[in-house]
Amino acid sequence: MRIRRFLDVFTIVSLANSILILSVVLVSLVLVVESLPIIARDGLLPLVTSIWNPVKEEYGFLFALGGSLVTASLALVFSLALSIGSAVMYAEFLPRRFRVIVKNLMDLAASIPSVVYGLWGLKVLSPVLRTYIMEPLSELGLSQFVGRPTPAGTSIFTASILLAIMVTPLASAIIRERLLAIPSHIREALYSLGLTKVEVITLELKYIKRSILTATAVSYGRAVGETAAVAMVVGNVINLEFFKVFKPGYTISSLIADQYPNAEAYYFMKHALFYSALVMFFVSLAINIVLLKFGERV
Amino acid sequence: MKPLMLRKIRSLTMLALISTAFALTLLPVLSLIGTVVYNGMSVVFRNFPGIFFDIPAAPGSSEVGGIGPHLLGTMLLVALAMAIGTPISILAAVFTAEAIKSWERNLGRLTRLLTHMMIEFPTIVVGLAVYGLMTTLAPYIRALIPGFRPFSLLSGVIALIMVSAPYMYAQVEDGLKSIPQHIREAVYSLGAGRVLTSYVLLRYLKSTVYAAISISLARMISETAALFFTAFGSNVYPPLDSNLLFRPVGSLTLAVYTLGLSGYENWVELSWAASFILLMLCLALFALSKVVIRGE
Repeated sequence: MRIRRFLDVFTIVSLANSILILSVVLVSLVLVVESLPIIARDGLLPLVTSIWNPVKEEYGFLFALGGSLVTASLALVFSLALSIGSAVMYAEFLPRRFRVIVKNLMDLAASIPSVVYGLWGLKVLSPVLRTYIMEPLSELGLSQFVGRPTPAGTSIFTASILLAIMVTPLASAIIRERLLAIPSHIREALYSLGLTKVEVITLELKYIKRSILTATAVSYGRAVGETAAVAMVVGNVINLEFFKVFKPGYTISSLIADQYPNAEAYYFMKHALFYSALVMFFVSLAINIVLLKFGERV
Repeated sequence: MKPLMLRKIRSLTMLALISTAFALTLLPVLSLIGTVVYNGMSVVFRNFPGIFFDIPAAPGSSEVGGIGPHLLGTMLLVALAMAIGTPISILAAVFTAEAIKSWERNLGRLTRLLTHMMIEFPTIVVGLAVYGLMTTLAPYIRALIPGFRPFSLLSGVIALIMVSAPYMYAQVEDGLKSIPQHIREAVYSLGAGRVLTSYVLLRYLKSTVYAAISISLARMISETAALFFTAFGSNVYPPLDSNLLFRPVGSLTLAVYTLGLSGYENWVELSWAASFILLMLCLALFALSKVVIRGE
């Protein structure tokens, strides 16, 4: 009788929860277990060295870690500028009848597969960026700081621009919705002080800084984890000077995607790639914790 | 306070910057849609309707062939993943929302925490972990099924479920949570048990559930990174026999990636065609989800 009260029909449903929990636990467990051999051998060394020599079984993926952080950070800067600008334009200036079109276009842009962005980035964006931005700038003498672009135009810079284009629709939507939700009495109070339109907007942006933080964290997480599009335009070259952004390079995700087919041939390479995935896992976890503590629900 | 003139100049400069940002946000999207539609349509109509059934032509030849195997692969992957993933995520959401006893509430809270963590995970990490899991399990599975390989339709389906189930779970659970308490109590007061109540509440939330399903469908169709080491990709039709689940399959997204990077002109053209089909599928699902939400 007691058991029957404890186990009603509804209890069976908890199986579904257990499957979900189990899958998350298994993912984390596999990552840790598979990277243990190389952690036992090298400790934290792969994080701070830049060697990729499978023949000698030497692996250090600082170049990819650096590439990931540089692409994601650059992408974040561009996408913040674009998303705040476009959200303000949408909420404050755009006539009502254009809003529906723009909103649907942006929402659609957020749902286009990333690999399609990758193909467009490879065939359209890379040549344009090389001809009109990267070559003129490196001709101007910046080449010792940013490197020289390759003929194809694939580079860390190209990847960050493409990432910025990809994450902007979502980031912009987060800021836009919050901007539209500002109570009209607050907006009217600001105008009644005799402020110009831009001064009002500046204050409104300060008022919604939590949403801007949320948009920032979500964009950064997406940018760090994005694989297919980045692997298509970042060049996939081991570049020890990952801070020279006009040169092609690697990010962690593109390193995994590009190198994995060779991994079975060497003993430690597979484990090294799992280790790099584990690092990405922790970066993403950190972003999630920031979101949970300071952000708001998207 | 600054002179009014200066403030007005500053205001105008900022306005110019804002308009530039707006234009720079829309321009790439329009260019992308335009390029994909233009390039993709011309390839699709060059070999219509064969593009949907043929295998890719030999690299470097003047023919394009088709992306039949990839289209079939995407359909198999998505159909299986939806069939398994949808009930799991909806049931888990129902359990979390209707939990009463303390162990149930704790289980629900744990599910919520872990799946929310999973939502923003890089999908390549999920794909890699599924591959690691499958290689570890392969010797045991091979004892039952001799032809099993870690690169297979089955691994692809598992990876897709892991990528999209957290989304669907979160959306349905949020929907259930947002139902006013008095409606839930009204259903219970009629003497319904928890199973019947959940069923009634899910029907009440019909449009949310349909929207969640169509968004998950779009996510599964557009997923690439999680399929690299699971479905692996293939340019030929898999033999349709009992080992279908245990062989590598192609997918439209993997086709865009590998054919697009191949460097052969006719394969790049196929990549545009695959992109075009993907774009149209996403557009259709996007329109569907809008219609469903508006139909509430």
